[in-house]
Amino acid sequence: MRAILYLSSFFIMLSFFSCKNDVASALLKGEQVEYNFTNAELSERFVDEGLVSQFSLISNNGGSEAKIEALYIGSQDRIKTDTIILYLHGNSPSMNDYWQLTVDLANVGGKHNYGVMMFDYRGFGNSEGQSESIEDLVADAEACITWLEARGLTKDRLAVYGYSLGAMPAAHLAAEQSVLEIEKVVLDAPQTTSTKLLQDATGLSLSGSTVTSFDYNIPLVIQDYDNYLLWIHGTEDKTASFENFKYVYDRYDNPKKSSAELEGVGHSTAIEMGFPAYEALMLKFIRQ
Amino acid sequence: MKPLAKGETRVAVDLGGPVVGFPIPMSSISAARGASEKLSVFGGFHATTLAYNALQFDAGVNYSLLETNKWKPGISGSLILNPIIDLRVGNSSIFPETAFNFYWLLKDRHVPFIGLTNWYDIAKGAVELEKGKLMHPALYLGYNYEGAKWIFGIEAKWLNFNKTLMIPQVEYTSIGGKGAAGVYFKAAYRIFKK
Repeated sequence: MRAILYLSSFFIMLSFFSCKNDVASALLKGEQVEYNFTNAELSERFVDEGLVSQFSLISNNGGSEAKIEALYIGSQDRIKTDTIILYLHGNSPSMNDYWQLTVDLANVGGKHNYGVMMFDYRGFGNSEGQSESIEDLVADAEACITWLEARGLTKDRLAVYGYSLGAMPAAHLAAEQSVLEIEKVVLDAPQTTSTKLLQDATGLSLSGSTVTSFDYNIPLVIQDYDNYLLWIHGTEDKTASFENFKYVYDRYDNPKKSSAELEGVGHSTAIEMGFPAYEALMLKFIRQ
Repeated sequence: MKPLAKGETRVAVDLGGPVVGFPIPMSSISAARGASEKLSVFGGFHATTLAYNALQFDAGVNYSLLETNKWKPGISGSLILNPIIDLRVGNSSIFPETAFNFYWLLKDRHVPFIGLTNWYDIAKGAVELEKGKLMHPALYLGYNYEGAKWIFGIEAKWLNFNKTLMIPQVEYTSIGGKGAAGVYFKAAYRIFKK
């Protein structure tokens, strides 16, 4: 009988102490870092370091405030005239991992041709708090748009670029009421829904809410978006299924949609396709 | 697995799961009883799933189809129900399961076994983007040491070997790009044996 008691106690304690677990908290992998946005960290294509600024913003998700860290590449004085790309990064620890990619975007069409803004979601990099919902990520992006709008950005010069994890808030931001209406959005290597993520991992018809309250649904929300959308995806992506988003894209009724379906390319789309092809793709999209 | 003797009752703890560098520690506690010479009934509760805010149970029967005799394997078949209830929003699923087990009893305490199990996704239409499948098979191979009171076992499984799984940002072990490999450990205690 003692064995039964021991075993039962172990399981009751295990269940009691860990009943608030959420798979999202394990998958959203931010960590504190020392930011290093210098040319020394770049291997190709550089910036005028005097035009790089790193600063903090306050993000507010329905009263849940967090101080988040942001980066702007370009002259802040030209926000009122430049085209600006707001870059929503993927699920790496911090902005450091996307420094070269954002510098590349700033250099599309010529050195510092576009202003580029990037930020760390709450709980990523040195941003405070913890990302627990898609609304948290969207609120952090909204804080950046608010900052840009206060410096003169208008909706016709804004493009929102969501890579991997960033495609989730980018799609939600585009479809929902934003501070500035989103007229151009790029979804680069996107997932589809939280439920599909679990179903691809298990093969079973389980709802995403079985393991997480982090609920997102790109196929659903983009039905409410009818402006320019560019979908970029590698056919060999092992992190976000190409076939899944292809299914969504093919059924997405929007005459302003376009795609770059990259044969043989994996999850690191921009890097794998090479800068000349990437630059041409981005120029064509932004200039339309 | 090997059916229990009539009147025998066991409680067991299972620990293990798909290998992602290490086996995911999915844990469950279960009880089984030999209802007759051929039929055992059992039920289990999955603690790790509860830790993620979902209730998962299993309940089933195991029937002896053929007794083992020296090197000739014993064969048993199992019918199992696996309900899963999501405690966040209340979604529920139930997955019927069948299994065929081949086992040997060597020197009265060594029990190697192999088998094929299959989960049936009767709600496969609920899989998004029209990609649901009815059959979710797994092959397994293992060994139990059956002492007078305690039973210890280890088992390797090839889960979902008929499909390619996609688990983002996790290095899981597949075989030929199909399914996922899992490792499981068991400790069971005989409460009494008739």
